[in-house]
Amino acid sequence: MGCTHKGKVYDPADALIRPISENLKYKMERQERWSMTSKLEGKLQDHAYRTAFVASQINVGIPFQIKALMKTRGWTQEKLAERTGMLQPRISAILRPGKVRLNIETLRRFAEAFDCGLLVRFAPFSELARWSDTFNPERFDVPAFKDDLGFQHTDGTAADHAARIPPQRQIHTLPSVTQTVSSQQQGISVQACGSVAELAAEPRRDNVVVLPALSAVGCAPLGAPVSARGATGSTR
Amino acid sequence: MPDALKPVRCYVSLAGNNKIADWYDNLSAQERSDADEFIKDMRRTKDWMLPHYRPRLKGYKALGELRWTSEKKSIA
Repeated sequence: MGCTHKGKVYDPADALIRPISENLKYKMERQERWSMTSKLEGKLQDHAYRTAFVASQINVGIPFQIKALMKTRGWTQEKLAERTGMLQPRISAILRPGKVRLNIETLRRFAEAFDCGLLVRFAPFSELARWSDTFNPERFDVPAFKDDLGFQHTDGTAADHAARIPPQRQIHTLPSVTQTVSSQQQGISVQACGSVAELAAEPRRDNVVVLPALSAVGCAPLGAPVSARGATGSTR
Repeated sequence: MPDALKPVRCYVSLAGNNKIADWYDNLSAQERSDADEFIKDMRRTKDWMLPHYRPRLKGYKALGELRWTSEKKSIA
């Protein structure tokens, strides 16, 4: 049961149970949440605003993203124009929020220029609102493919091997793993397998396994002895 | 937790008139949404400069106009 003061309802539990500092922190966090989420949530109740909100994320939000990516890469408008195959005045217009209605093909060209991916998918409004709330032009950065940590390995050799294997010749993970090379933090597990026979018996999957050094983990070869590089070739 | 935002204040006359709030309330849904998104992103931007921001009074960097486009109309 709360009391009312100047139109606001106060919960006595807020003031009595928590120590002052914790209470202040709690109120600040609550205030922050209110100002960022509830205000927007309230506006999104209006269908016309909801529809406009989606368009604003593209026409106003994307120019801030492009500008942030240019800043992190140290690119000028001229350089971006060169990379996208557009004219500099066009880039200048695109960078002005709301000036240009961006389409997917234009965004794809920017993704190609920045050498990064582009996600276009339908999403719940709550997710879009969260993205809008947390987006910070000063911190926004998307690494280019070569700097993408999701594809890097602790062992440089492993990354090199992965780059050399054509997609149709990928080698796959096996349940009987003798050595795990990379950490979970990187999002990719690079594993060495027990034997080439296991590789041959395992059905193909979409994920990739790199064999950095079969000899180092005592692989039993299938048929003729194979080196680490040779093993990659023998399973093609 | 979202990052802290730069405070944005609306001028309110002694009589209690808030011209900015009145202006905002009269915008279309798209214009309001564009204004919200632009101001939110600007509040997280460190350096305000042209073409998004232009100081209006010499010597008063913090007093100026924000500029963006919505519904093919330039807003400042």
